[in-house]
Amino acid sequence: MNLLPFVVAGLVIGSVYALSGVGVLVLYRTTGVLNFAHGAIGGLAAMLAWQFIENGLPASAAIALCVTIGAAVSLVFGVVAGPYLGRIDELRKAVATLGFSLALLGLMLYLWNDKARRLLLPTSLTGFSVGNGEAHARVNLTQLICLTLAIVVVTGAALALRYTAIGTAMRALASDRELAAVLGTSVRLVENAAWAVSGAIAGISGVLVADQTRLEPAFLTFLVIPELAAVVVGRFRSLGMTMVAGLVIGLVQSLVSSQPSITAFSTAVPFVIATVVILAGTRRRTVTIGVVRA
Amino acid sequence: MNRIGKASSALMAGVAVLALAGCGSAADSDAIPGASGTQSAADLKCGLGNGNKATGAPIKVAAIATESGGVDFSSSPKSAKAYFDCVNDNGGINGRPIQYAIGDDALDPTKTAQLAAGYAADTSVVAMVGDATFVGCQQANSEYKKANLYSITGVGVPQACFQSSNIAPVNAGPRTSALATLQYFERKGEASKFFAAGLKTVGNGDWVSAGINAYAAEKGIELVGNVLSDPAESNWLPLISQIASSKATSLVIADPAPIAASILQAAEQQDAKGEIRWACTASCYDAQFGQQIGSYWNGFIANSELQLVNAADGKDLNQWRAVMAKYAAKGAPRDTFSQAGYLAGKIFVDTLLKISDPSTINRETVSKALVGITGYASDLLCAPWYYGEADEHHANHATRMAQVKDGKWVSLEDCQDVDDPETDNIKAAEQSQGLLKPSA
Repeated sequence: MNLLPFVVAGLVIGSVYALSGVGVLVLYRTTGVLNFAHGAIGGLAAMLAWQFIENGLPASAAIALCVTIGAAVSLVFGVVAGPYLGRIDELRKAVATLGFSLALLGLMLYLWNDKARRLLLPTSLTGFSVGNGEAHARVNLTQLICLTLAIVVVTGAALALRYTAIGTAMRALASDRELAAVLGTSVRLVENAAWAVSGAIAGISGVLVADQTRLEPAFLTFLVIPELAAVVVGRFRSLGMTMVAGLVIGLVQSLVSSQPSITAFSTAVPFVIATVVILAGTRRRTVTIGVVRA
Repeated sequence: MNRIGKASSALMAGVAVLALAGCGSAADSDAIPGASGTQSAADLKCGLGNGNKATGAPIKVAAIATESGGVDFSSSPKSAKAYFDCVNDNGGINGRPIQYAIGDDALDPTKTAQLAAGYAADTSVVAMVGDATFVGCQQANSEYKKANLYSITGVGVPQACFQSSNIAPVNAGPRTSALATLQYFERKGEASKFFAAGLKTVGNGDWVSAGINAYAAEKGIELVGNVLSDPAESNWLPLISQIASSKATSLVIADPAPIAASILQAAEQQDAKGEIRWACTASCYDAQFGQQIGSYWNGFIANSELQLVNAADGKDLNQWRAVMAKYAAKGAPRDTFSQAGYLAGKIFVDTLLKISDPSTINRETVSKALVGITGYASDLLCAPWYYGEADEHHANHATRMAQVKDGKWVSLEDCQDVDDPETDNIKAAEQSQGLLKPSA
C-alpha cells in the first residue's frame, strides 16, 4: 500500500495542530486561560473567508481580513472578560471559554446554512508529485505553507518570548503574575497582546485546516480537542514539545487511518497519545515548589 | 470605559458589521439557477383560487422539523407555510384559514417526542404537514398513533420515517436514492464494479448500505466497496485510496452534501477522479453544491427525488416557484425539500377541500380523509402518491437523475422506478389495494 499520501496528509494536519497548539499555549502561559474557543475562532475566520471570497474579494485579501477578525474577536473577548477571568481559578476560566466557543458556534450556525461549501485556496491548485512509481503523493502549495508556517511561528514565538520586551513580559506573567505587576509590567496590555496573537493564529489555522479538511462550523469548532492534546503533551509549557506533539499526533492519526482494520480508531489517537505521555510523565515526578504567600 | 475598552468595542462593532455585510448575499437562493419555466398570475390561484381572504374559524395544522442543532431541514415546513398563506389568500379551506405552527426539535429526539406529545394532546391540531425531523420519526410516530394523528411528512431521512404507521413522507429517502443511482449506472452498463460510501449512522447509513448490499447480491453486481465513515472524519485519504485501488467503474456517495463536497475536494487534491463515474444521492442535488464543487467535477451525477427545481413548465412546479417568490422569505431555500414541503401542503389542502361541510373538519374526519388518499398525481412526482393504512409508507420510489454542467444541474434521465427488495411488499400492496388509482 502506498503510505506516502498518508504521511503527507498527517504531517500537514499535524502542523496545523502544532500551530494551533502554540496559539493556545502562548495564551495559557500569559493569562492562565486554557482557550476552548480557539477552534471556534478559527471556524469563524474560515467561514468568513469563504464568504468574502464568494462575494468577490481576492483570496489573499480575504485571508488577511479573516486573520485580523480572528485576532479582533479574541482580543475583544480578552478585553471584556479578561478582568473577570483574572480573578477566578483555571478550571472556571476554561469553562468560560467553553461558553464563548458555543456562542461562536451558535452564531456561525445562525449565519450560514448547512449546505455544501468549500474553501479552496488558490495555493491548493498548484502542486507537484513526490516519490515515484507505486509510492507517490501529490503535495500542493497550501500543504507546504502549513508546514512552513508551523515552523516559522514556533521559532518566531520562541525567539519573541526570549528577546522582545513583550515576550519577556509574557514570561514574567507566566511565572508570577502578581510579582510581575508589582515590578511594573502592564498586565492588561500584555494579556491583550496574547489574546490578539492567539486569535490571529486561530484564524490562520482555521483557514488552512478548512482548506485541507472540511468547512463546517461544528467540525472546526471541535478541532480544538486534538489541538489541546498537543498542548497536553507539551506539558502546558514547551513550545518545541507542543510542535513535535502536534506533528506526531497528525502523523499517527493519518497512518492509523490508512490501515482498514484500525481505521475506526484514528479519531482516538490524540487522546491515546496524550494519556500515554501523561502516564509516562508521572513516573518521573518532579517536585515544584511554588511561592507561598499569605 | 477605558480607552482599550472603547477601542475594542468599536472593533467588535466593525467585525459584526463586516460579518453581516458578508452574509447579506450569502443565502441568495431566491433565484433558481437555470430555471426555464414561465410563471403567470394563474399560478398563484392556490386551493380554491378565488382571491378572497379566508376569515372563518382557523384550522390548526403543525409540523416538526429539525431547524437548529447543526442540521437545517426547515426548508420543507417553510414552503408548506408559504403555500398555506397562498391558500388562505384564496378562500382557505372552504372559507376557513389554515393556522400553521412549526416546532424545531433541535436535532434532539427527546425534544421531538415532547413536541409530538404536545401536538397530539392538542386535539384542535387536525394533522401534521410538511414535517422534516432528522432524528425523531420513531418517537413522533408513537405519540401520533396513540392520538389518531397523521403526518404528511415533507422529508424523511432515517429508516423510521418510512416504517411508521402514522407518517408518510413525500420524498423517497436516502436508501431509494442510493439504489436509484446504482440502477442508473447498471442501465448504462457502468456498474460492473460498484463502490458505495456512506456514514456510520444507526438507522440511516447502515440502512442505505444494507440496501446496496442486498440489491448487488440479488443482481450479481460486484460490490468492490461498501464503506461507512465516521461522521466526524476529517481525513478522506483512506477512502480515496480505497476507491482508487478498488478499480471501481462507478460509485455513489450517500453522505450529507457538506461531507460529500469535502470528499470531492480531497479527491481533487489527489487528482483521484480517474475513469470512475462519480455520483451522489439526492442530498447533493442542491444548487449550491453544483456551484461549489468546481469545474474539475463537471459531469458529476446526483439523484433527484422530485422534479428538477429548474425544469421547464409543470403545473405544480410553476405554482411552487410562484408561491415561493410571493410568500416565502427571500433567503428560504428553493430546493427539493422545499418542493416536498409544498407538495405535502398541496396534498393536504386538496384532500380537505373534498370535505364539503368545513364545519365538520376535525382530527377524526381529517385523519380518515388523509389515510384514504390514493393516486395523488403531481408533475413533481414520477408516480401517484398515496397514504393508505399500513405500518410502512414509501409511496415515492421513482426518481430522476441530474448532472452538473458548468456549475448548474441539468437533467440526465427522467423518471425511473427504483428496485429495492425492501419495497416489494409496498409495491404489491399498491396493486392489490388499488392505491395508485385516484379515490372517487
